[in-house]
Amino acid sequence: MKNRIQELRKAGRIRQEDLAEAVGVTRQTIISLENGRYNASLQLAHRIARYFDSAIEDIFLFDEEE
Amino acid sequence: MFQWLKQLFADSPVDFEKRCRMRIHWGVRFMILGAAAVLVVVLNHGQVPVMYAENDSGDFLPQFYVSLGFAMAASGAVTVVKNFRCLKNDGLKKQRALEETDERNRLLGLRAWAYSGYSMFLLLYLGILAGGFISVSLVKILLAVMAVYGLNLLIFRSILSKCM
Repeated sequence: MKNRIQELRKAGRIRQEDLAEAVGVTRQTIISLENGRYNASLQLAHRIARYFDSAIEDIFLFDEEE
Repeated sequence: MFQWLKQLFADSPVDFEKRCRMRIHWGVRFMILGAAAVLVVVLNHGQVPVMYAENDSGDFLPQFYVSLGFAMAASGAVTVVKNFRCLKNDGLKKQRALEETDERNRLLGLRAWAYSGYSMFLLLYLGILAGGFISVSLVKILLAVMAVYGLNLLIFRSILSKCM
């Protein structure tokens, strides 16, 4: 699943550490999410979406073919 | 009844302070068990009472229990100190809580257990195949371990299917 976390984070000039702390995960998890190596749980996806004041589907791009 | 198993799930909330306190209790228990293992050997004048003595029982077992006892006591002490420090230091507590409650870290831990379980099962199977050329007792022991392992797997699968 692709996501727009890095794009939104850079647009908001937010550091990975700050995003990680705000959503209650480690910086390594944010790195893995941004690289597409790890898919967030529904809870984490919800927290990230709330942090960026967006809907989950606007950040996490679900590919039907996957 | 088996809801406590849910604590291991990657998405279950973690009470970190409670976890630290529980680890301190287990650390103390480990220290006591370790001291008991050493005490058994000391009270028996460097010997371990064995039901079915073998050639190297006299040398191996006392050393084994003394080493195991010291290792257990030391790991228990380290656990107590580490978790006590964590409870007293807010910065450290926050950092450790984040690392331990991080969902990716928890999932990594669970997957590592799962993959080590799969590989252990495969190794046991290979051990049983090769064991026949070494000793019948070895094959029987490995078969027993594999049977217990398989039974555990079935029991946990059945319990977990009721929890989730």
